[in-house]
Amino acid sequence: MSDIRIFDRTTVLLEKVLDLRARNQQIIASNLANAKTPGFEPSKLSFDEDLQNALQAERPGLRGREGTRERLENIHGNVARSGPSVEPDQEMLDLAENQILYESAVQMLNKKFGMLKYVAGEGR
Amino acid sequence: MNIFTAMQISSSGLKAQRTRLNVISANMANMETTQTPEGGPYRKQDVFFEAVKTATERDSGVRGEKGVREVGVYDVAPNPRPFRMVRDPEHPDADENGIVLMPNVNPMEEMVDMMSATRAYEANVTAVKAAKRMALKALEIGR
Amino acid sequence: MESVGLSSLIGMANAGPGPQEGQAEKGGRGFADVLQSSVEKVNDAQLQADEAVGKLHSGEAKNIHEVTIALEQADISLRLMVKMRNKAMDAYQEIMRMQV
Repeated sequence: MSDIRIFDRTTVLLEKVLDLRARNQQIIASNLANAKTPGFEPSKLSFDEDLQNALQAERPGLRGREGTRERLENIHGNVARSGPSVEPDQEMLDLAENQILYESAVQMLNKKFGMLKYVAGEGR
Repeated sequence: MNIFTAMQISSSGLKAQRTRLNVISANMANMETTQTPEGGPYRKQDVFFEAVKTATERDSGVRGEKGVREVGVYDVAPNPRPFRMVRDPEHPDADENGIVLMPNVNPMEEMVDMMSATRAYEANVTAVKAAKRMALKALEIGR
Repeated sequence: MESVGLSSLIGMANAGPGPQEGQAEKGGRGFADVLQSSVEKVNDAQLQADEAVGKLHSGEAKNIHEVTIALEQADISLRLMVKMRNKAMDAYQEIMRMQV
């Protein structure tokens, strides 16, 4: 059967996603506020590839799973300049996507906690 | 990870764009003004933006996220473009050749600027709303 | 998307305590086996949902609705299984209370 530990790797992933996306919000806000500031170069926070690598490199057995959690927890994302000037339309798109994925992560985290709480309450 | 920092940054954008809109309005209102307290016709004003450290960084002294800056208005200065020379002998401010010096304000330019400032303002509003919704959503965890 | 046989689980959950019809015929596959297979299905649903969440939030897939549906399936199948377990417990206790 599944080894139902209290905080499985999906919960760790969702928490990490919330961290990263909150930081991303700052970066996008900064890009938008400085869209007309002469000489300002927009930045971008990347973490998709890091997350994918952490999730995929899993070997069977207990040791493999510990590795995934640590790998996930160590992800900090990468901030880099994303161009010579701000593209407001692209930033608006990033803003919307960031917000939607943040809110969906909260919702999914709630779902997982809800299931755990249900089982803990013996479902009576 | 401070969600309020993001809101602060967006609000600095709102303030900067509002200042810009005010200046544009003043320019447009004074398009035909030939007499000012300083003497001479009205001179178009320009707004200058710069990227500054966020309020969180300034207050706490701790370096924040890389590449994250607020925006500030560091100067509102008169535009050096020469005044327009318009031939209008009937005008009370015409000189001996019938030429009036009119403000160096170009209405089309101001309109385009105004649209750009409005759009930038709205973009920052959207960013504030997004940050606010995210913060409220995080409160729902476990509820 | 694999279905976890929710309709069959719903049927089980709403059945009263007592021997399943099949037991009298086949004599082998009892309630215990049914419970076992439903537990496995619940686990599969959980794993599927976890995988979908991982894919969405690591940028591999952008299908939010598939993930929310997968989570809902995992949730519902879990609740149904718990309900079945409770019925099994009730049935057991009722039998134990019987005067012989």
